[in-house]
Amino acid sequence: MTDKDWAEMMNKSPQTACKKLIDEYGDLVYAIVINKLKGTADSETIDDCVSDIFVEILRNTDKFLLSRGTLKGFISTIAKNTAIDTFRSLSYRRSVTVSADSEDVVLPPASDRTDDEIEDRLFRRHLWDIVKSLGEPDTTIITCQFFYDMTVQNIADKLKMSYAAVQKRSFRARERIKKILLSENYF
Amino acid sequence: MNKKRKTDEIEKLTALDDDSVEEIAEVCPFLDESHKNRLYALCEKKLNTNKNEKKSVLTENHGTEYILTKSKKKPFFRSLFFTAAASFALIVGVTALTLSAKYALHRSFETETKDKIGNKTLCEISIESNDCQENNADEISERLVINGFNVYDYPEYLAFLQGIPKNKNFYKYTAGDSYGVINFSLKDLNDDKVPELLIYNDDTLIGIYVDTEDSSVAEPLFDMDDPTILNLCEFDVICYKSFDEPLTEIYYEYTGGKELKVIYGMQSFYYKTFNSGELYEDGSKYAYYAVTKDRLPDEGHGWDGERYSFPDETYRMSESDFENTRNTFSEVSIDYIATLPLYDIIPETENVSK
Repeated sequence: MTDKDWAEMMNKSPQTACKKLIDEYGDLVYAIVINKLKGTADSETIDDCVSDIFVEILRNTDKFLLSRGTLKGFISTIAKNTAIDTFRSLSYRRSVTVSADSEDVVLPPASDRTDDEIEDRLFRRHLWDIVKSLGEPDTTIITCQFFYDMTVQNIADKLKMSYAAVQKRSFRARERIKKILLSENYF
Repeated sequence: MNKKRKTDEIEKLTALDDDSVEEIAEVCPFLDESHKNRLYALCEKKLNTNKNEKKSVLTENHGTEYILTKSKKKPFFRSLFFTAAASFALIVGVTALTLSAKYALHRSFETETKDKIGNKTLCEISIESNDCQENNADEISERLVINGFNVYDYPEYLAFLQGIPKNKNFYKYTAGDSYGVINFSLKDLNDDKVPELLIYNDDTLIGIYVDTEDSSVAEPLFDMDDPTILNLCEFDVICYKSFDEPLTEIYYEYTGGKELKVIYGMQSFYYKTFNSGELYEDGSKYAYYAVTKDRLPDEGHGWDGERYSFPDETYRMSESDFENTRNTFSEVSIDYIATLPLYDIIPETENVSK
């Protein structure tokens, strides 16, 4: 299905388009939302945010100009912005004042520490590359456990494996990751 | 590497870049069929809910949305369900009538505000009344809604303030202990060579810090407790809030020039009630207020459950008199906070006498 077909469908039949969009792009949108809201929102809020994104997409079909980008890019942008808005909204509601003396408070770096931020981003990217290199089912187990925050039991159900097997594989996979990072002088 | 890094590095499998997230979605899709169906049902419900329905849900159900699904139960349970639904509708109806009476004034205010705004630049603007509950000031408020977007949810879009330090770095906080310099522009609204407005457009921004003289100490650039806050919301709408008394909230349209155009404003005064025998000869208890306009916010609110009207215009007083009286009767409790449109209050405050 081309982007043009999508655009036509979204205009003609939003309901049908909605279902198909969720089928096609639901996982991408969910991953984007998890990436922003993990640890901040519960599963209901995340589902709510994901559904908001699809509604937003359908309400803004006129803004989706084929000449200006792909549907995937359009969806990703709306997903990111909506997730960030949700994060802000949640953070605002839970905002607390913390003493600057507290050990938990991380202060902004001096201007010469911008390198650290770049290094950190590269490290996260590298970490995902290592997880990918583990092979299945370890990649899925680690991703589900540490990216999607799923419980071992839920992962076991998803992969149709036993609880103990998932736990053992997760442990071994993490040991392998640690070894790789050690060999690359990350510690 | 940074010494603060946690031992278990796998915990950092979050806040990833866009490409990694895309790969995760492909390598490890999360949604199963039932989850997708659930999401679809949620979307369908939201798509079918138009703005009017939203308003009525918000007003009548006190912010709680109810999802009614088709019942597969036997006729008896179905009739029971319909009976319950009818009773519920009746209660909601009565509540709606009460609320609509209470907010008659607010509605006229809303119309007036819309007239002021006109059809110019701000797309679709409406003002929705939140739930109203007597003697609970927090719940008596209105929400400025722009294209279904509630500005109350976006306090940080912002930036603002007096005396933004020049030649300072502003940082963005992204995730973990990552920070970076943000892109921003400063606006000098009154041409005094001192910028008042800091505008940023960085979708990763979730906090701003000012770099102080001592680089090891940072202070928040803005603070919700600060009495002067300007929030730059979407569609170039700026929200000013003052948490000093009277509580003030003004929405401006920022068009890129040096002036802000008021599109909506309201000010909340503390309404105090006290034993009026000390003040009024008839010995009755009166609500006391400082606003000066002909229009009153409501019929009045009771003392210990009693209902009575506000005193007539004779008893209205200036803001300074109100302050003096308030100080005199400092022991009285705050009974009610009412909200009035600011532009109705300010011009005439000084001309009003007791």
